Amino acid sequence: MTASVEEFTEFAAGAAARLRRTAFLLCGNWHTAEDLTQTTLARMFVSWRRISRQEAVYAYASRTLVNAYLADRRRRRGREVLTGWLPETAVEPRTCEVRMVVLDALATLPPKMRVVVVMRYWADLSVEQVADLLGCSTGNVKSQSARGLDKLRAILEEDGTQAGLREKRDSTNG
Amino acid sequence: MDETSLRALLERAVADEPPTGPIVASSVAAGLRLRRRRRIRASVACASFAAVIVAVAVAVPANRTGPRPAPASPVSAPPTLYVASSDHNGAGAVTPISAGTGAVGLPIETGESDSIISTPDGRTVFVFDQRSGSVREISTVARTAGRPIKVKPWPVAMAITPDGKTLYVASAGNYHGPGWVTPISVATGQAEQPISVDGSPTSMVITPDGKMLYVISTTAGMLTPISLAGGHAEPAIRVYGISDSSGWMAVTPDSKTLYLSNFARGEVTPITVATGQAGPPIKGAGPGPGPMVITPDGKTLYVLDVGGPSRTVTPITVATNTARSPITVGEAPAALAITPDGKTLYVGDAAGTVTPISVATDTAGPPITVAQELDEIVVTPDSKRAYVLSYNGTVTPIVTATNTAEQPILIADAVDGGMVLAP
Repeated sequence: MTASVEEFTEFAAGAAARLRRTAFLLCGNWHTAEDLTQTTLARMFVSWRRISRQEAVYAYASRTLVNAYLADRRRRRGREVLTGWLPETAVEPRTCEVRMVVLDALATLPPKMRVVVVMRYWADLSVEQVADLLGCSTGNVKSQSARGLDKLRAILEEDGTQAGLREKRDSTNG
Repeated sequence: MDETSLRALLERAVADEPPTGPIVASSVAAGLRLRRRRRIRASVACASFAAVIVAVAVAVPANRTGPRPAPASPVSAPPTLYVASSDHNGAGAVTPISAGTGAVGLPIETGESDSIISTPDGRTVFVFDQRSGSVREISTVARTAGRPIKVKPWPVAMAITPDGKTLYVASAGNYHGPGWVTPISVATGQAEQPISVDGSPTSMVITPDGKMLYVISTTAGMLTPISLAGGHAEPAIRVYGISDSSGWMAVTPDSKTLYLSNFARGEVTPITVATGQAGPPIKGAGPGPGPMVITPDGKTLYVLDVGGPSRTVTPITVATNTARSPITVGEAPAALAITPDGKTLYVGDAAGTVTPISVATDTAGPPITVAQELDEIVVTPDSKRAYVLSYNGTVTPIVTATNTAEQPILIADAVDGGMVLAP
């Protein structure tokens, strides 16, 4: 194994879990998340010697992941029937229910808006970083972010998920 | 709902994370496949007519302002291998190696190079640099690199017409909009009007008759035919199941049929060039069909399985589009090449062995050991030697008459820009 492969393996071992979780919040299922993570890391492997010389390796990984996710969405478009309402979910324990409701709420966002929300509030990227990642203006990121939050708020408040979250947090703190 | 509570909700959404698979190892394997595919992409365009190329040495200086004069008296000489490499400081070079003597020439400074291709006459070699979005022309006579030629962002593949007059460079763009194919005149080095295609191209091939160019855009699941006479894209052909792990193509020498290996669906799709119609998919070439090569007589298509543990290459009879019995090769097969005389197929694997296969009998001979991290294989026009490039920076010659490896030639610490054989 050459030094560059060893270097890449070390990076991938450290970054894979975080990338996979981010991919999951973008796509909503773990199988696709694993595929997207593998695609991201494989693309980085191809140009690793060049990428590893850059300072912002994780930013590069985020960009590659988002590109892979958006490309995947485009491929699926036309093969999936989009509906204006959320699917019914089976009755599950409360912890699973929160997860399902959050994922269902995220699924109502258009792909780029979902990227903005996840990268801003999960990956902790700045407005400028997300704008750079998507190749759009900071104003666009701000408006997509605000609209995304509004939409999520409306769905989650209607569902009462936030109330459940608050109760859980209060009981944990208390 | 404020940002803090949203963050907490997102944390809870990923709380029930299932165990992960061997994601690092599978990413490295997929990355190796992508690297190899890039090499195959660059070489496939020349492979189909390599058999009829006569090796010539041309003593004509590069002419950057107009068409070059034809050579006065071609002199037979061994072809030259050109290996593209980059160092850790962002510099890069193309190193010539005599395919006759193995002598290594002085590297030609090129800047970073991600792929390399030669004109059929071997007088000009092109490399591209993805990051700067440019192509460089290298005169193999003067052993100098020209100025960068700007193309559309993020070039991913090159192909040269059989007459050697035009280089086509496919660019992925920004992955959000259309892709592009930029024609470049080999005579003048001038980029012409780019042709827009659906999605982001990942692979490209020119038919041996020089009439059609096919571009695969895996992001859009489209195969776009481009008429080279008209210089325009024809209606794209949707190919279901194309993924980032697929997109290899091969064209029969008579230019009648294009084969597309569909890694994700485990099949090979034949497409009639004249009509653009896809025929029934061919099964039986393993779970992950990858690189392909067609015998010079056009009778057999060999498909390498790079998708699973099957370790096979499968011959497909072109006349009937049916798969024959698969042939077992080494673990993690990576690259394949056929001798121009059509007698032997060589299949290299990541473990560093090359399996010779008799085309007449579809039987494998004893494996030949070369360096690990094998990248690609090329064969000289006279079929006497095969050269194996490995990512560790070595080129290993194989004498085809005896199927024995000679002493490896060290080029650089690592090589990731590919190799091309210029007649």
